[in-house]
Amino acid sequence: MRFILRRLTFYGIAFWAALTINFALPRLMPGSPLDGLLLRYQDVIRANPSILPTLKAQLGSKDEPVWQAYPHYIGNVFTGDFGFSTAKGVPVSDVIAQTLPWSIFLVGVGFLLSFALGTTLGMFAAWRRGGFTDNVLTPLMMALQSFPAFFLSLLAVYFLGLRLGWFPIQHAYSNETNVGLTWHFLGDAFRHAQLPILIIVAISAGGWLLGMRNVMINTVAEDYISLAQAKGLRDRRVMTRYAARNAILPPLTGFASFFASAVGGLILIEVVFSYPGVGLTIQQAALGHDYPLVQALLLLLSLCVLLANLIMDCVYAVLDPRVRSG
Amino acid sequence: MTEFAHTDVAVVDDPSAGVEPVAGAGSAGPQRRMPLPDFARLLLRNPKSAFGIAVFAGIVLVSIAAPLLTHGDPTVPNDLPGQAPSRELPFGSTDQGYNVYTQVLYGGRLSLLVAGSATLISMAIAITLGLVAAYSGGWIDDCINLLTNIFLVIPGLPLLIVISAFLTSTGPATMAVIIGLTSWAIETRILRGQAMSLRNRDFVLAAKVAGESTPRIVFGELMPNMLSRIAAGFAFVFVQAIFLEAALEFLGFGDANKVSWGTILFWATNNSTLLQGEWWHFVFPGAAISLTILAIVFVNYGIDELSNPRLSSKSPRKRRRRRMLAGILWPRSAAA
Repeated sequence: MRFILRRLTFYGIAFWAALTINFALPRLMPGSPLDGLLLRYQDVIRANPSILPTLKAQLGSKDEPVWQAYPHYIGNVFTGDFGFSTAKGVPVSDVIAQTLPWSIFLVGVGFLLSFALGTTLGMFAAWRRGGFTDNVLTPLMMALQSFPAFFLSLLAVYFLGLRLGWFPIQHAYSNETNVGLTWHFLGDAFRHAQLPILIIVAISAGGWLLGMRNVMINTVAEDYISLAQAKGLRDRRVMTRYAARNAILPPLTGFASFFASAVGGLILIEVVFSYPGVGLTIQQAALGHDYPLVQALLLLLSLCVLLANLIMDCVYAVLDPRVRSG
Repeated sequence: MTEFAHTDVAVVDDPSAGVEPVAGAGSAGPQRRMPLPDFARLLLRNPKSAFGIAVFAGIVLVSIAAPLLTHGDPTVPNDLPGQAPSRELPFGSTDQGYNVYTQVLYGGRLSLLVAGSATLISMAIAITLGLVAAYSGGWIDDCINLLTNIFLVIPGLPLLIVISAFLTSTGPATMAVIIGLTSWAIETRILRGQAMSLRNRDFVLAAKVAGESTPRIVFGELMPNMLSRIAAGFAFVFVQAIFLEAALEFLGFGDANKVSWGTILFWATNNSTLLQGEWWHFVFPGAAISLTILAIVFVNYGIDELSNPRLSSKSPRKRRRRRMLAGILWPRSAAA
């Protein structure tokens, strides 16, 4: 419990730091982001004059000094007022509600698949060192990892999508499909998600594989493995119940860094596939200088990474009794 | 290979961060300073890292020698638009008639330069923060550690995108600076961990007793003993930097008028060459980026194996046989 509390305190501080970075960035930049925004989106702001105070707190203006703007800004965030997306003309929270589910779907499925595939292959690679998995699949997965997400996506779109026509190449569902909880819609959405998820698995499974392999190589040398083998247990049982089970914890902590990099990869993948998630939205918002949306999305992504870390801490505390007592 | 006993590259991310490593003074055996050339020689002897170094050197050389290898100007559209690769146009030409071969060769200069500068900035921060934190301990360590942990959980690419959104223009120099300023956290953590294991060694304590200043001990005593790990750090951060630079430019946050691998890809997708079937416009610059990253990954892979011989994919028996053979042929090096 103390472990979780300590982590919670840290995540609190980290979230506050992310808030502060968000608050400070537009004020540190040369020029005045607010003036540019007012000029660019005159019509939107004239139509909704009530968004001006929030904008000023977010981006900084001359008539509100920092010591007043800072509490104002933090207060706004905690009451759920992230401002108004100037490019889309709707509240930022609406944009997030529409886009976040798509991204969670991609990353969630991608994570589960890559973790399962990576650790399984890593287990085989460490168990039979110098075997097929170790000599062929390990370098192959490592090589896949060095393809940047956007390049791999482009290759996949071109060769698997356009040339072979196996997968739809853009958007989350077809234009003619109505959004709703129908089998037709779900099937269509699933088909559109296949290729992006395949890319996520391709670029991240290598990390799990290597992590698992490197830890398990050390586990295999432990005495209790020799003992299990001396007892005459079946090879497969020793591998899964004795070696892999003890080796799986350290790679699991890599989840935090996996998630942080997955967020980056997600942006690139969503942009290539025009997939309507958070990643595509943050790119469009940043290119269109829609600052309120950009700021809110950075905060949201940081919060997601923090939550993912917190969940992993809890899982770890449950799985490893040493952490709980320490 | 006792020299590598302390350069544990495969850092296991411990959730209870800041666990004091066992600073057992005498038990670790004599640690002698390792000059970089020795380390480099070992790297070249490992087939994986030797391959990586060779490929990377080749890429750098080709980029530098671009004017000798191609006669065109990457910023002037001289060729027939939309040509597939042929003898005259090895990588084809773009929709606007740019020679892709020329662009990829020249583009490497900017990409490598930006990534290299970003790496220098990032590693300078990482070395300073990591070593000072480990050596000073106390509240300085706590502060630096907190800062590092915060930067570790703020996703890098989105942060860079937001910064570029607020900046009016992101030229190559700006890009190198913002990448460098946002990607130091992981290495700071690793270097801090390693410096902590050196902190209570005799030579550090002796320097302290002799009244040396903190900067002198950190950069004069600690740093030279961590050169191999620092070299690995450079390789690691460079991979991040080359990826981030290409990603930012691909997403449209760079200076699209400058020719680099990322901007070639940006134009390739912007002009929807994909739908027209002009695969050469994105395959060659993408392959250049991937090959560069792959080369460095191989170097890192070799470093990992050197620091932890168990990870080598050779079966232990074969390795033992080889070591025996090496012992007969070069009695001295095998004893190391």
